[in-house]
Amino acid sequence: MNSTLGYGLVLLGLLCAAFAAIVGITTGLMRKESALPLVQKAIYGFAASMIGSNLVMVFALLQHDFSVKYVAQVGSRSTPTIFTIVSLWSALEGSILFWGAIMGAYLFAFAWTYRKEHGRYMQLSLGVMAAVATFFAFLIAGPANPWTAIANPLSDGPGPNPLLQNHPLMIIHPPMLYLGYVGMTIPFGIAAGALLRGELGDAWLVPLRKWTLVPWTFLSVGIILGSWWAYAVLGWGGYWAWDPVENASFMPWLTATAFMHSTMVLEKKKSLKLWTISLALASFVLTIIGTFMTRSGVFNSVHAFTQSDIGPTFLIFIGIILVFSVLLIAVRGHMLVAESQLGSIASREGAILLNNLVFAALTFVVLLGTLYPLITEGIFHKKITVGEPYFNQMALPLGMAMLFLMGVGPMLPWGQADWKTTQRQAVIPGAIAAVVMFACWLGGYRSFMPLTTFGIGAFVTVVTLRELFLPAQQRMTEQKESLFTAVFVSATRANRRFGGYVVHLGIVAIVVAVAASSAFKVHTTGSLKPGETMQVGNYGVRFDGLQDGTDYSAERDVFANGLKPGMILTRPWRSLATGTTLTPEVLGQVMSTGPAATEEVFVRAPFRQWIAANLTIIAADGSQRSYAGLEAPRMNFYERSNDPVGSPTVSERFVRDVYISLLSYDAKTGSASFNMWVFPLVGWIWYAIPILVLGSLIALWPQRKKKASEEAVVPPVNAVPGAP
Amino acid sequence: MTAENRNRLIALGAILVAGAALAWIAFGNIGENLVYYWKPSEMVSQGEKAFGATVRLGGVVVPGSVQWNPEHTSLTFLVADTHAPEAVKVKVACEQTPPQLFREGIGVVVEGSYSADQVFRTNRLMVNHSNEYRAPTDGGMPDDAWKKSLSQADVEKT
Repeated sequence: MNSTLGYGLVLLGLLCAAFAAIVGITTGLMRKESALPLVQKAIYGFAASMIGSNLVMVFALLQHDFSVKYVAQVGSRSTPTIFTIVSLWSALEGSILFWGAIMGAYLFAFAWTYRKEHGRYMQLSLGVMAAVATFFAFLIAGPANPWTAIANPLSDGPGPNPLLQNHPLMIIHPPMLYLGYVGMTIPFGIAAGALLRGELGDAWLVPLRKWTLVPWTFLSVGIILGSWWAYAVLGWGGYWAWDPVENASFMPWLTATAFMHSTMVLEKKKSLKLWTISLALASFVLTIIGTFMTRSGVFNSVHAFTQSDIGPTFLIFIGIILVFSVLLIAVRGHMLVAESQLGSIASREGAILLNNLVFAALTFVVLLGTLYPLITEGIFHKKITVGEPYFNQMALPLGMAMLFLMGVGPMLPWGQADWKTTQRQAVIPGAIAAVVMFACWLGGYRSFMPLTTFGIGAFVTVVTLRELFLPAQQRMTEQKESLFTAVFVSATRANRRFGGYVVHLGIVAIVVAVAASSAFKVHTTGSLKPGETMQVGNYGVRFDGLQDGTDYSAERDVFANGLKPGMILTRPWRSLATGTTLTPEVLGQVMSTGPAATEEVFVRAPFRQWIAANLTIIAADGSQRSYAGLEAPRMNFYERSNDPVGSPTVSERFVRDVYISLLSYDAKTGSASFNMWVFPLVGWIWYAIPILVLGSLIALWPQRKKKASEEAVVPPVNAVPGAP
Repeated sequence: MTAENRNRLIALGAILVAGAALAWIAFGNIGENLVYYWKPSEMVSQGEKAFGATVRLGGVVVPGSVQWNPEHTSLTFLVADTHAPEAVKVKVACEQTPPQLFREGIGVVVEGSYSADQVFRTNRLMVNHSNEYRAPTDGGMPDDAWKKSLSQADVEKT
């Protein structure tokens, strides 16, 4: 039943998407705008059926309908409800189905937002987006169909991958990433639609920028949450390993970030057109390549699911969109000629151009390192991988250049910088940077690279804060406004700039945290008997002994044959036929034969057992924090997994984390061995998430309609001579 | 040639030179940081070329070869391609506490490098996971498989 309904909805979605694609693109090319409502309706139909199909899947998972192939693959009666819902995206087929729902939601949001006011490119744009949607609907209907009906369903399934049910971050990390990935379809559609239409005025730039910022924000959050998950769950003492799948999410982030900077040059100076559009197209192509890497199993990684048949289909699709994108640029490239010359390199646009080149360089470096093993294996049949040092050595100088430009760019005016003014503006940030570096040096942090990073970071922070609050300060003196009003008004009047600078602050926090936590981490490893203490950095860690336990799922009714050893009763047995509570003697009988369909048996089932190494962390000032049971580093044994899954303990502090993972234990002697780290500032990476989101929200906040006249009122910051 | 065009040419030239330099550095750097996936036999057959290279050596731990000294956290064992007695064996030295699942006969991947004294030194020891759970096919019997695995986990606990 569920199978039929779910699969029917997928087919309906496929039909709607294909219809929207064909009608949108053909009528768009013929310039028959009357067909737009038809395309919009088909898009709504696609969105409704995809979301509907996902709801049916969630329902089937909750119902434990093991006649659905996907439920049989990832479902289990003993999994807690929340992870049962989450298992929608815990394996290949479900994740692509979920992908379809997000695609539907995005297409609906886009089509609905511009249902009345839109450029003439809209029909073609919707058509292109629908074409992408058609591909994903086809994947779900064919090679990655989760809805296959199983003729003789079993009474229980294996449950999702234990790694994925080990931490709540897993609940939000994948959806964020998918929202980032799938959302890049929208800017691709807008750009492709405008290019196909051949009308490249300014009308499409605003939606293009906004609809890139939305997925960019999700992608940023998704990447950070992913690294946080790796850090808090996997227990190897790190958050980023240049894993192909991490790289796959990082590359479109880089190109989308570059895009959002070059689009400013495009708007202000009417140049870098071809480059900006190429970045929008590249971001999309890279998300599809990323999806391919994640989902096809070409790479062996935490994220790679079992080898699947979707690889070849994906490769064909990647080929099509590459050829399509290159053709678009080739055919319409002559329309993308700059209307004005870029001036001096010492200007805002010069800094943005340089920043774009650095982003492009880093994308190339990451792409090369990620694809190199595939190429050597394909051509030379040698199995190799590119080591982390390559990525670190290449990314470090490029990252420093980015950070530096993030400080210099906002200081420079559009057009041509005046050397004297620039010098004067650099004095205060430069002085503060020097003080910060000196303080770090005194504090014993003396490696060259991190010290330089801290210095430039301080420089960028000061410059950014000044750019953020200078307009407000002017309002306070000139208009006699209160601090709050002045900040609020200046932020809303120039919300894009304000939001952008807030995001910059978040990025500085991340870069500084990465530099500090990788350069100044402390690592020790060793075995402890109960009561013994070990030193890691300035912290003592006392091992308090082993503890074991079992975790149970929520209470549920067991049907016939559902009783398993280890379950605990939560209510007395009851016979539905007679309404009487069964006697203990009958219980024994039920226990041996299993309950009949007319008996109610409420139990809680074990879904994992664990062994924890309780410990106490003693700081240098003598303060203690104890971690016991589920809070302590432990090994989890899931019912259906052969290997234990470790969970580290992260003792979070604002300035440094103490990170302890259990390597092994000896139940006979009661001793245990640990890996311990102290990571300075690492938490700032995740603390930056709200800053990034806040900045993006400010930048996305809808401007009032008469914004063109208002923007002229606000004086550009850099026009003010002699800034403090 | 106008000044504009000349500027454009200069900029294009600069970008090309920078791009070429980047590609040169990147390719050079990649060459130095390759990690080879080798089995013991493959690594040994490389001869002297294998010395010093970063290698992910995959194989099985030869039963009876594990020597573990907890006092000095020093661990040595032999890794072979397969369980066949004639398989090529490589001595591995590791200064790390072995992970819980490490035992004789199990599949391992060690990352490190091989040196002229015929010892493979590593600081990264990974036990081959068999976590991959396959969906029951029609008529398949998954229950026995997982029950067996559960009892294995129990054995390890005690």
